[in-house]
Amino acid sequence: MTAKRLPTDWKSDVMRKRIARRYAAERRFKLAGLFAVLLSAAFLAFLLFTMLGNGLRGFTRTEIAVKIDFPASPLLLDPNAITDQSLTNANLPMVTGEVVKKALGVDAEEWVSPTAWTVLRDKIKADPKILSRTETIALPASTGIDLAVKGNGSPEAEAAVNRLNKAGLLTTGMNWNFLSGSDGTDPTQVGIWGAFKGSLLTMLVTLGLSFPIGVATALYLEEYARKNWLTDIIEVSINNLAAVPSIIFGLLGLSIFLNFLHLPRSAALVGGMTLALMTMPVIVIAGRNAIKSVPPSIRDAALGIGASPVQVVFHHVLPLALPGILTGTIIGMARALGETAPLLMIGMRAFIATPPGGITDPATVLPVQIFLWSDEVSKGFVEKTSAAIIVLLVFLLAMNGLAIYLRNKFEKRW
Amino acid sequence: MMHEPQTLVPATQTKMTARDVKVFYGEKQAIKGVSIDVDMDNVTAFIGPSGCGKSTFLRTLNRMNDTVASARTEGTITLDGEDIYAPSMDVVQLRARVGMVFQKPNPFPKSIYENIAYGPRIHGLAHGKADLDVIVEKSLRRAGLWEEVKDRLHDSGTALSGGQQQRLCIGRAIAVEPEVILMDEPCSALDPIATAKIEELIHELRGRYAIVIVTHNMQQAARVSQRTAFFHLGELVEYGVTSDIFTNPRQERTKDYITGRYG
Amino acid sequence: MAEHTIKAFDEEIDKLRGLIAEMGGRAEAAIENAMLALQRQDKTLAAQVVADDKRIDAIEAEVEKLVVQVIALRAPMANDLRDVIAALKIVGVVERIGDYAKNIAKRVPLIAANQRTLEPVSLLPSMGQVAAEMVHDALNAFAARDADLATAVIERDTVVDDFYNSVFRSLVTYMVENPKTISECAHLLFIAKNIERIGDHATNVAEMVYYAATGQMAPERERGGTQPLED
Repeated sequence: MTAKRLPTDWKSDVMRKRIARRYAAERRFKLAGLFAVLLSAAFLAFLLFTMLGNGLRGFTRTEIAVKIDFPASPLLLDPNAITDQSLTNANLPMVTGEVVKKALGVDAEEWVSPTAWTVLRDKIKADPKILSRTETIALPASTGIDLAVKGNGSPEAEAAVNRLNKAGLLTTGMNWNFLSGSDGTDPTQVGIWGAFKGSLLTMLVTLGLSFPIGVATALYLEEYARKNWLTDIIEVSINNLAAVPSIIFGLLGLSIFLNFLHLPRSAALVGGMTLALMTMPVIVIAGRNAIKSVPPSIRDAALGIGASPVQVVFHHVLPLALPGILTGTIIGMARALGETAPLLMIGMRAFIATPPGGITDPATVLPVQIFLWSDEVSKGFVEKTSAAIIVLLVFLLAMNGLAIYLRNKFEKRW
Repeated sequence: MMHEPQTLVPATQTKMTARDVKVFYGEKQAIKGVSIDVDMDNVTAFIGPSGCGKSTFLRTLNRMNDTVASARTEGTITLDGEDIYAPSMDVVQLRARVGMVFQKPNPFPKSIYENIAYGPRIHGLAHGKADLDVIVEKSLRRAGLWEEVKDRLHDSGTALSGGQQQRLCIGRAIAVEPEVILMDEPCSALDPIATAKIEELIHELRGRYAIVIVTHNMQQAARVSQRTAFFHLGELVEYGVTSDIFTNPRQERTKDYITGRYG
Repeated sequence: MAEHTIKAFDEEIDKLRGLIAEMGGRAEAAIENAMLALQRQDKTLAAQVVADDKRIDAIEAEVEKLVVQVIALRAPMANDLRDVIAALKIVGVVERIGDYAKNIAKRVPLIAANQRTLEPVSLLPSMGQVAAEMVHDALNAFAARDADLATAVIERDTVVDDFYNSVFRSLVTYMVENPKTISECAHLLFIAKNIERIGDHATNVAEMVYYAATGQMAPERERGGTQPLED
């Protein structure tokens, strides 16, 4: 029998000091964590605040109400013969300038946007009877006026704005054209839709290529590949691919897809293929982890009941691994959505005035569009750039939201 | 090391035979020349200390060792006279004929109905939903679970208690109409009441299926089986009628193990 | 034999065997003292034997309790199980041996009452000696788990039976010749029968020892003496 052990005195001073030190350490750790979170939140808040501050104005437009007396105007058009040809022949830009000068004054011509004539054209096309009466039409203001309204313009523009305001002819509203139009030269008229559609098409191509290939690769490596030196090399290579700088993929795309295969330059197809190369390793890594985390007891149970290896994979392993695979996919896709460098290399930097029709049409993507606009000289593009950034962020949020929803839907507890 | 089976009692209807079976994991030999018969009418228990190879040997009977990359099996194992390691034997079909119940209950993360219906479906044993319904009810009844779950067949299989989950796994194995059921320590994760229910179930299934049960609980082997085999360090030390093994074993090693003088 | 992994199990088995050894020793002493009391016609010694029988009964109760406990708590298997069951049965038999010795001692005062020396009394001590040795050897066989010694005891039962047959004839002859001594001789007959029964019980003990040691039933033996009972 051993000697009786003296009970520990948990209330002694030494012990109390230890407890106090331990509590202090826990508190410090918690505070450190809280500080880190707050710091990140502060950075995020700053970003959002700045972006929203700059960008929200990009969603508004200014219009000037112009009273046009059509019969008295220099416009020569037969109301019964409105065709595209006749409209072109009517020289609407000149007519617009004249009626504006007549309504507002000699220097008013530069107050309206150079593309204001398109509004007249659309109105005439919609209702030819307008040509026989006087109508007040809201014409889009020029960049100078637009900036002045937002408090950022030249002194002359400011003065003009004051005059227009006194006459009650200035209105501001939501710039829907920003969301539905394409790139252009006039900052007040540019839209994001072209780049948005380009991004969408590119993402579709990327997903369509990287997801099946990535998942199949992950399945093969986990379920079928034998553990030998070849498999090890493949594993190491894929892990390293995920860390390669994205511009290298751009070079790869340039040399193989454009120079060797002669695919159409600047097309969503090529952009998608390049980004797929980049996203695939991410999906493979996430997929392998998800498949590895499926408990072997489920596999044993399926094998024990006489399921073939393919049935085990598709009926049991894949459904359970799907949440993890989806998470990895969305992470990869979010990264691909924001990529600029590789797409610049394959030429998706051209000025595209119309949205792409299919994946082989020339296109641009949101990040590239932002980059291009940020390069522009005109001051009006500053707010448009920020507005485009807001659109990109919303797109990202939507994608992440979809991912979380899908993951929760497929999450099965075992 | 025996090359002839120990036939202390006349074999009734022999279902599976093993002759001089050896199993290697890489260089290490886990099973050293085991020969034994499994018959239809008697529940056979494999007992022995940890690491003696009883689970490994059990898994050779339905080729589950094939899933371990480094495992190599030698010797002959037959089911109804056919060599199960012959290239012409389809492993998938073999595992439908020789079912397995594992130590930790492992129902699929699907509904109770789906758990039972999965096997018949993939083997093409049912021709339509009505057929499947019949099979599901029959299997659950035979597993002694029907009364408890008949109103909630579409609840998740993993929401059941441990004992119920294990009976569900037994029902799942039964659903494909196997000829042999292998049980690898089926009650070790269960409480005494659930254990007793499973033991009673084994008693009811006896005769309809050839049952082999691996257990480290000697009292369970004594209660549940009619034939017992004692494994030690990869060898089959003694095989005989259960009551003889537990009242008057022939081998010193067997006696030491069952009287608690081992180790 | 190796020890149990659980030491308490070994301790309980040892305690069981110790109790049986003690009981056996007391039973042997009871037989010897009873025969001694008969030879010397010592009533005090006889009374002592009767009183000591209570202790033998007490040990039997203790052993029964211990056996039930071991079976419930330790779930003994194989030879352990046979040992424990044999211990239970042996203890009952030894208790009866003790009772027979007590019975002999009880008859001593009745025989000594008339203060007569009876010839046939001299036959009995040697018979008693054989029976006592059988009991001694049977219990030794139990202690040593010795099947061969047990077999030897079983074979010796014929000796006691033969002894009984010859004592019976002698007593009957004596009774016919000395009718006045019939009541004492009747007691002597009973004493001889008791000794013969002690021999039988010792044989039972030996048979149980054989089963516990080997797991087989002892081979069938010839019961009764080698000589016919009738003249």
